[in-house]
Amino acid sequence: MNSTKIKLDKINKIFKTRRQTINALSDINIEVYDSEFISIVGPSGCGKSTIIRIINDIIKPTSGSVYIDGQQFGKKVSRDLIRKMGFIFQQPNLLPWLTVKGNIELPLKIFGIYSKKSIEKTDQLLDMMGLNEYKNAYPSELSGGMTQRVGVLRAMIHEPEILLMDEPFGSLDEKLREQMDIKLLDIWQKLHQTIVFITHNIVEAILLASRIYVMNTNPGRIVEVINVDFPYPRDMDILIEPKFIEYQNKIVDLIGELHLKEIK
Amino acid sequence: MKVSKSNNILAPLIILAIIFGLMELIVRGLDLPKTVLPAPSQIIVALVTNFRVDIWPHLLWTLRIIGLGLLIGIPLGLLFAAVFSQFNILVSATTPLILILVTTPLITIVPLFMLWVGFNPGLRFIIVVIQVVPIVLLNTLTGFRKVQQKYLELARGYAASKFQTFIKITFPNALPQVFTGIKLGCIFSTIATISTEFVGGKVGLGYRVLYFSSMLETALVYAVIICIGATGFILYSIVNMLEKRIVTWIL
Repeated sequence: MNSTKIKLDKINKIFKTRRQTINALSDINIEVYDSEFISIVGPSGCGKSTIIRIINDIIKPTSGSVYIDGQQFGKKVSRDLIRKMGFIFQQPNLLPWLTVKGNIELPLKIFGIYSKKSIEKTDQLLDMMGLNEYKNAYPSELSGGMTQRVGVLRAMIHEPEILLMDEPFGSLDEKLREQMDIKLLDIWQKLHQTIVFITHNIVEAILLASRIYVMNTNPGRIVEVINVDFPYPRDMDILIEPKFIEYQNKIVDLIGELHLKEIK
Repeated sequence: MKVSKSNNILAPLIILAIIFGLMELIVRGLDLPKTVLPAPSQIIVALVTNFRVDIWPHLLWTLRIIGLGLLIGIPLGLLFAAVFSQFNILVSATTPLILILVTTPLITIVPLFMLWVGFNPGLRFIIVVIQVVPIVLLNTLTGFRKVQQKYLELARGYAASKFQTFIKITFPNALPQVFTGIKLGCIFSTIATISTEFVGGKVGLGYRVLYFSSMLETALVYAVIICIGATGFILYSIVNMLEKRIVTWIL
């Protein structure tokens, strides 16, 4: 039995704006085991992006506790804990004044672990993703798919044990998204990180994850946790398995007809 | 994604030549007295003949003041902005004062200032600094405060310290705005320097304008004005060139 890598205990989040009070998250309890690949699925606005930002300590919860490797987040979270995580944004979020290489090396420089070896590592990763010739290009010169790939590399350069991915392939076309999904599974098979993958694409969630947290809005809450019973390694073939359709239907039932247009 | 650049040296030169030619025709044709409006050719002749003795020493002097004002004013403006950006109270407290300093016409302050500081030309750069610092400060501060939320999230996600966030994100992000401030600083610096020379003293291009005016050497007046204009233009262009080298990510 694997140890618990990430734990969210009774998390609540309330956002107060000038006009209204938003009950973004209500009583969220999540447990992710070491080297597990889980997904959080739900309609827009259900708070899933808020959840992984709380895990990465970008947002503080209104109440409840966060545990990484059994260590609880205090008011100030130790840098070592944060360093265990890599965050991949929905929009690539590259710094426009740095080259591709500069962007990828950014975490190393912030953590103070940049060295000659890092240069080799960066080159290796760029090679793996087929981006070597764009090493010295600026983000404004790249396509959306390329910048997203750079974002993934940047999140992994410091070898984090946890990957937090906020709808990373949502802005890509379907073909590229499938390629990236398979590539991600490939990387995960090799590196065994603990992955929390957020998406509103049910097919993607079932393809990738071993467990799916299904969420709904108003207030943002977890409706059910689904175990996806397909062995790894997986490929696109499982999409036509009858079990796959069952899972799909189950999730659609849970989240309801209203949100069908947001679900692909 | 580069839009084709037109040959931007040739076009202004052609315009300049056309204006030159037109002015020459008008002045000669209407036979205007040369104490009122000399022909461009006369201005050029006056400029070239008298440059070394009557203009160059003063040009150097004016340049010195402008340069000193910028060398002190720009770093000070940047420093203040860096400090202010950390304390919201400082910003709201001092912004009205800074705005007043910037918008009050310099010509009204300079005589007052000369009263306090005296006519010692060596101290004139202080007035220039007072004009340059607020404009650099205002623009830089705006640049520092307008950081996109997503970049700050990126920094927080790596537990970057306040200092790291400033050096790696806030400052580079603000560079375009910083350069705007510096360019404006150059303009203000030139105006301020010439203004001090107008008010008093016996050195500088501003003083020379008044001197030649009083002697009815109108061609030389225009010649000096051209020098002042050229100084401002060259300064601005240097900063522009620097900006293109440094701020490479904005096309």
